[in-house]
Amino acid sequence: MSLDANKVTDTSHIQLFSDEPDHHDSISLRSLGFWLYMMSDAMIFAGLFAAHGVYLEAYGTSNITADQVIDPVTALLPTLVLFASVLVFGMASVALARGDKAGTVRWMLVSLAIGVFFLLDETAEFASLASEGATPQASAFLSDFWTIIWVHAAHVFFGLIWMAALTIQIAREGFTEGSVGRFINLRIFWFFQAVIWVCVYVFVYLMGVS
Amino acid sequence: MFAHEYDPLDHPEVRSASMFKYGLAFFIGMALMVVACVITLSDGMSQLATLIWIGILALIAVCAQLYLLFKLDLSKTMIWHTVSAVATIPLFFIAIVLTMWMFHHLEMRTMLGAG
Repeated sequence: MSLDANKVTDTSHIQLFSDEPDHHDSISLRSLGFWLYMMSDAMIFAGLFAAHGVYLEAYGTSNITADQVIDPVTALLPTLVLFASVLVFGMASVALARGDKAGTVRWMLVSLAIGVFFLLDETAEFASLASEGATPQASAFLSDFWTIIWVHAAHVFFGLIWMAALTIQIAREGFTEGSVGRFINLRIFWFFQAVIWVCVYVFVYLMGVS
Repeated sequence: MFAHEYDPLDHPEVRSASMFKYGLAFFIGMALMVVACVITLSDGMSQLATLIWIGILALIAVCAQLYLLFKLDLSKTMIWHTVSAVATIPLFFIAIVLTMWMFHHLEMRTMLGAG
């Protein structure tokens, strides 16, 4: 047989690359990609903690010092609340692993409610500080203190929006590859807030008064 | 052609959910934060000793949470998560410590921190 007989003349039907990935594990791929994003997010907090270390006693002309605005015992409440929200989200994860849609939605809603309480508690604490004149403009220390707490709170806020949206999606569509992948990523994001809060509580609340 | 039907609930990261580990992470985290708070408020140690101890407690709490909540280990599913975390944690502390060190020396030379 001549080589010309095997020669392909019409190349229009040839597909060099598949439209879909052939590894079938998009959940792992998305999880790793999101995890790497969270690692870069951690470096934002590293910058904020570094600034906190520099500005810890930078009161300038303000007479408001760290031990006047930081109460480590009071700050145990948001610690407990955030850890509880993470624990309850873990219960949603266990329900997901069992294929229990109602349980997953229920525990996500409870976790969401506890997260909202965390934000309300933070808002009340800082509203009280502002009413006493401890505003971000008062000193470099207070600028840094407000920034660290509210950058973390912004993470919690967007996590809650994400949680609300995903709860609705799981309630309506059930456990599809897309919704389960998003749940795994939200779990990473939400658990990460607890890890960062450990650093916030120790570096900001405890070291601020030690 | 390439798409295969499979149950996403069978994925290893879904199956890794464990109520025991999540509960343990909660209790270890809370207990260490309470102990760190008590150490800070007690007058039994010097400031440096207090800082070292609460730093150690924070490190233990973070490591416990990383293992118990994220299930970071050397399994095929989690190896690259673990590697990236192990590579990031030193950068995290280097960024903080070096920045503080540089500004401390800047302050010593310029007295910017006065007042």
